[in-house]
Amino acid sequence: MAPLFFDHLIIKTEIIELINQKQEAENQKGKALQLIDDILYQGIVGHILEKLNPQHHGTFLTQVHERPYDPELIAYLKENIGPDVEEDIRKAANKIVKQILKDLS
Amino acid sequence: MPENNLQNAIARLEKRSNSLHNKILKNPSAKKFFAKTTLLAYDLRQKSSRLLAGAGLVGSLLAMPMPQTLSIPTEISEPVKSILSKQQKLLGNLQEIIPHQPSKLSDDQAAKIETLISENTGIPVKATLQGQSLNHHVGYIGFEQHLKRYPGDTLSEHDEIQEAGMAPGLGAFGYFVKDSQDYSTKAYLQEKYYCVVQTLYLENWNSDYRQLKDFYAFRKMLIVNPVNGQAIVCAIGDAGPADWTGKQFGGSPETMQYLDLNKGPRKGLVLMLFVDDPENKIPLGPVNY
Repeated sequence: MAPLFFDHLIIKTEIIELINQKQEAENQKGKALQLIDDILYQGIVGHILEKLNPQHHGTFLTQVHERPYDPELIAYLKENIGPDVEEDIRKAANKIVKQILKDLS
Repeated sequence: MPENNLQNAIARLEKRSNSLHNKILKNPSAKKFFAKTTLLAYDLRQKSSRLLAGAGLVGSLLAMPMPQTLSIPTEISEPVKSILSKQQKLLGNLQEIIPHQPSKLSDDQAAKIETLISENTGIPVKATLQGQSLNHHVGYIGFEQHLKRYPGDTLSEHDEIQEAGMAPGLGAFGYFVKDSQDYSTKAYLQEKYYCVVQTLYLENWNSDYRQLKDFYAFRKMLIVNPVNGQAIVCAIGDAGPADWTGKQFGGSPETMQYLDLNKGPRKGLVLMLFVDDPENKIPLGPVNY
């Protein structure tokens, strides 16, 4: 599994368990998981862009694209958004996870 | 969840993904950026996988908490150096060459720096252009005030960093446009990203004033902060600063903010080179590379 810089801030256990319980084709489960991965990525990047000063948007997006795994991205966000950015992302991720669970129910 | 409902759930997830995708693309930077690449986590994970495999870092990063998603096979590795961004590569090389004091570059230094910058940013730069060269290519830049763009321009008309104030007089090259009717996006950007260079101390400034003024007025310059790699294309909007200030260049509030030199003493050592842009193709403003 190739990591993204924010993966450690997301708890997807409930989503995974819910999908794994399904008696449906594996490709359907895979499709759902992939969509969920996209939703979390888009939701978190969108949330960060809302918090980050627009002058840093270009640099941030470029760095995500160049080094998607890099923990230094969190350091960059701490410097330019605030020291509590991890907690902030965690809360945003939890909110997205709840929406996903609702979509799955 | 009823067992036969996954397809319905997928439809709802697709709708949510599309909605988030459209929301992100309302952001101007994201719209520009994602025109060149995708907004799919799968693609990004694939890239992450390739980079890490190339750098031999997969094992160490896998020790970190991992996402519970699809397993993506790693592909053929890329060279380790590929994990460095162009900005990092440029920065590492520039820091080796650039003197950490106000100075004029030697021909050898200038040639190396011009190549490095052109290769990494795509912006052709010159220390000497059409026979003209500043007295300093490396120097301290200071935080300047806003400049009046046209007669009657007021501080409240400037959209950012109004706390910087407005210079009481005009820049050395006058208004950016002769009146408010001619005020264009070009003039808006020229003031937003203006810089100040010491044309007044050029050896032949007094004797060749007319020709030199035509050459330097609103000419595009590239400024690079060698500490963080931030680079910005600016237009020369004024002459100065005075020697006694200990600074060699000035930058508009927005320029200084982008260079991350707008805090504390609001000055710092930068590299200042001409942009060789005879066809006027290089836009003013921050350089993303």
